Amino acid sequence: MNAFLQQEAVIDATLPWLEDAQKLGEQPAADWVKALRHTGAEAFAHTGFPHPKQEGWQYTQLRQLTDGDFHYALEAPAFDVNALPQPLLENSARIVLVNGKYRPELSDAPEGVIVMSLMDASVQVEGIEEHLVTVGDLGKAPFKALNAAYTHDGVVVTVKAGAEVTQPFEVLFYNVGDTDKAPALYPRCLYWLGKNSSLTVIERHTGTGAYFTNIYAGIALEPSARLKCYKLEEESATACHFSYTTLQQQKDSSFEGFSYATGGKLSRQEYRNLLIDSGISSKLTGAYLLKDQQCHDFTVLTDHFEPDGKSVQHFKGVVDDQARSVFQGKIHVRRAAQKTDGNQLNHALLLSEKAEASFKPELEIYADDVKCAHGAASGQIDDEALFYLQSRGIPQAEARSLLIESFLNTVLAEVSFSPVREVYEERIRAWLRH
Amino acid sequence: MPIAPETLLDKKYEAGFVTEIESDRAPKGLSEDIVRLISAKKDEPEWLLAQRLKAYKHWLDMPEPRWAKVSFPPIDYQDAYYYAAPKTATKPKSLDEVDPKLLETYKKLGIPLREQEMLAGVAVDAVFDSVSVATTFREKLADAGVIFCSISEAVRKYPELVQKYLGSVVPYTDNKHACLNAAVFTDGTFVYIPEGVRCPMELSTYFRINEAKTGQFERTLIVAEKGSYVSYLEGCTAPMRDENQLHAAVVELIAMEDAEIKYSTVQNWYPGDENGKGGIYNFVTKRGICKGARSKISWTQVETGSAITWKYPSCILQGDDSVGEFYSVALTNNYQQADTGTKMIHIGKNTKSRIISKGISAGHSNNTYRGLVRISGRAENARNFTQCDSLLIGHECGAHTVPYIENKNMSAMLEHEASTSKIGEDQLFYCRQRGIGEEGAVALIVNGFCREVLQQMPMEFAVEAQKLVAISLEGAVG
Repeated sequence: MNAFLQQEAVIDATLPWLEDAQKLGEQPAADWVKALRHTGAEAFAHTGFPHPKQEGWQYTQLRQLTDGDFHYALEAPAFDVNALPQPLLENSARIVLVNGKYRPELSDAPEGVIVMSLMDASVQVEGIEEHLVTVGDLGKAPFKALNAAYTHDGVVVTVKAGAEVTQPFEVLFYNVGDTDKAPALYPRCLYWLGKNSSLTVIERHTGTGAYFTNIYAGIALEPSARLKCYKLEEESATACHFSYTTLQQQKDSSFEGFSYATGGKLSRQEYRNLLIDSGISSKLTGAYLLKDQQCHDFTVLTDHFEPDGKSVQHFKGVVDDQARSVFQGKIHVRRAAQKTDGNQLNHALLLSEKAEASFKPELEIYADDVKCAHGAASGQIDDEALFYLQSRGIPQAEARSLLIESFLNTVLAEVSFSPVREVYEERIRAWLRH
Repeated sequence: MPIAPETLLDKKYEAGFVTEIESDRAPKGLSEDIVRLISAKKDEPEWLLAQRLKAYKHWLDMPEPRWAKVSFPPIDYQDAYYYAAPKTATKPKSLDEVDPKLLETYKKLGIPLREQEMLAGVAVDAVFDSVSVATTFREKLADAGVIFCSISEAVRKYPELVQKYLGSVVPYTDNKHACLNAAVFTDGTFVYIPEGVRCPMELSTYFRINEAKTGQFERTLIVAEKGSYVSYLEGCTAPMRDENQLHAAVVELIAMEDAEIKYSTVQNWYPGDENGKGGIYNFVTKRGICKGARSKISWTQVETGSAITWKYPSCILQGDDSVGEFYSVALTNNYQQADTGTKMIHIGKNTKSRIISKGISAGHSNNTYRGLVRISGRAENARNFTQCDSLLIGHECGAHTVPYIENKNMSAMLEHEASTSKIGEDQLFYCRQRGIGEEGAVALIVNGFCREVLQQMPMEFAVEAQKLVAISLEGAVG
């Protein structure tokens, strides 16, 4: 047993969650991987899962997760390969991770993209730990700490300097759950784009049955690199999805992200977008569609370090039945980050009497020559607009769908890659039919 | 050629003077005995002493609120005096009997009581340190049936009213500062407007911290019965000091059916010097409840003083169709820290709230808007509109916005918008090429920035507030 587990400050309830990490001890791993696991486990053992009174966690109740019994397994379970969903776009290349484990035999990377399992990369790729080891805030990020304790699964995607990858690249996280012994998954991933390179990623999260997936992703963009990252979070209805993404952008790089969230019973996507140099463009937008008793949380920090940065956080969502949505955004503009242009917007549409929406759109600004604005709004479908459409012979249900679609359209417009935008539009229409 | 901000920002605190008046003071420190002493000095009934002691015991174990974006060394509660009363043998019957030095103090502040009595038609219950020394316009108010007196007087004369409402909106368990106030409050104001009465004049109290190291623990309680209306003005200035002075006031407002309470504040306490030394700690708990249907509570504040401001005037909108409003200008300079905002709790149907907050930061200061809008499940058709704008002057300061928005009712409509900007070079250029000096231009632009809030002030205060804003920021061009 590790030394920290005997310490007094350890929270007993955390121990079952760390138990399986000992299986990893027998596996060969680089020294830094071992150290990371230890630090992560130690941090988590001392903090446990966040308390509802903790800042940033008031609105997302974790009981559904903490009451569950989830276990980590070294091997992914057997599953039917034919059950894998088809790639979203015909011309894309795709890699597959099953229960967090990279499956080269099912994968195929586009030209110019190097894909390796995390463990292979940890010994073969020079300088990789710099991007995978960010332990500074582990004490404040329990999910990230828990993921670190299980550093083993996952994938590293690198693009060489100057490579312009035109073929869309799909990364499929396929999760196989189980009702008896629900798996806990802890993949750790890295997208590393060299100087002046470009890539378009479609990241899909889907699966069957009950499971808990807790992902840590690093995105490193070197000077002038350009990444488009389109996410579809369509986990199974009984799954819990937590992801923590650290985006680090260097000079003149650009990031365009969109996250579409409809899956899972309990999910949270947390982003820390660090704009560490000047002239950076960072755009993260998204849409959430929630029903039944789903709870979804977007927590986004955009941190401007240097001048002339431009950032956008636009999120819109519809909340039906007894579902709950949470958006916590923050734009942090440091002293040196003059001429920053930050924009934050969140709108939620409530479709049912029991639906709930909570927001915390924050600004923290230390530079005077900046333009920062945020807006948040919550309401229901406009009765007058509905009446107008109905009076022109459109049935009520259809009119409602039409209005919801048009409501979401303004964020979809931020997706510059049209084949993916069309996929999102189809997905939204399909959701509205149910 | 723009003027260097440093030369313009070092404007001295204009109300910084100390009046030497002997005072009757309890020993330093806080203990059960002090609480008993305060109660005894005020000839209080048993129930109030019991309440004070209950609060004091609760206070001992209560943690200090830590969530605000302010930093200061730990407060030594034992290093302050909790009771000080100006030495006046008997209560003055008219202004002539009031200590001339006191009157002089008011004159320096620009609020001579006499003049106000004659010209402005404002009744003033002036609080000098902790005991009210002069009250005017009693009779006119008495004719209307309005009770406007110090809280100690109210305890003696209207015990059943005080007992019923005191602590009903802000219980002593609310937070550490409110709890301390519940234990050691020395004086304050009680206002009671009977059913159907429109208070014939604006009520006003000028607070003034004078005695060195005397914490101020004012308690204000305003009850507006069915269909009544009252506008209450509160203004504060304090002399220059080196030690930090703790001020933990509590204000409770209760509006019954169809009643309206308008509460306006100009706060200009000593903010500390250019290096952040000294200044008042202003930890205030202000809360109003719209109990009855169609009632309305409106908070307006202009905050320019204090080293630290921690203040969230709130509205509990319980009655159907009730309305809550919050208009605020918070201005910080040098090393001031302000964490202020509001809470709008929508409980009743068709409740409406409006929040307009303007934050201006200069020097090394930090200015935070922190607000909560909560729509409960049964608050059908609730509406909220929030706008918080920040203006940064200079590049050493910070402006922050931390809104919490919770909606549990689909028919509710919430809108929140915020922006951060600086005084535009083009705006300045425009003013200057029309012959307006740099200082005048900045005052004009900042006053324009705050206009929506200043407009809400009653006349008497609007002028003072505009002057304050202009003085505090004169020409501070970043």
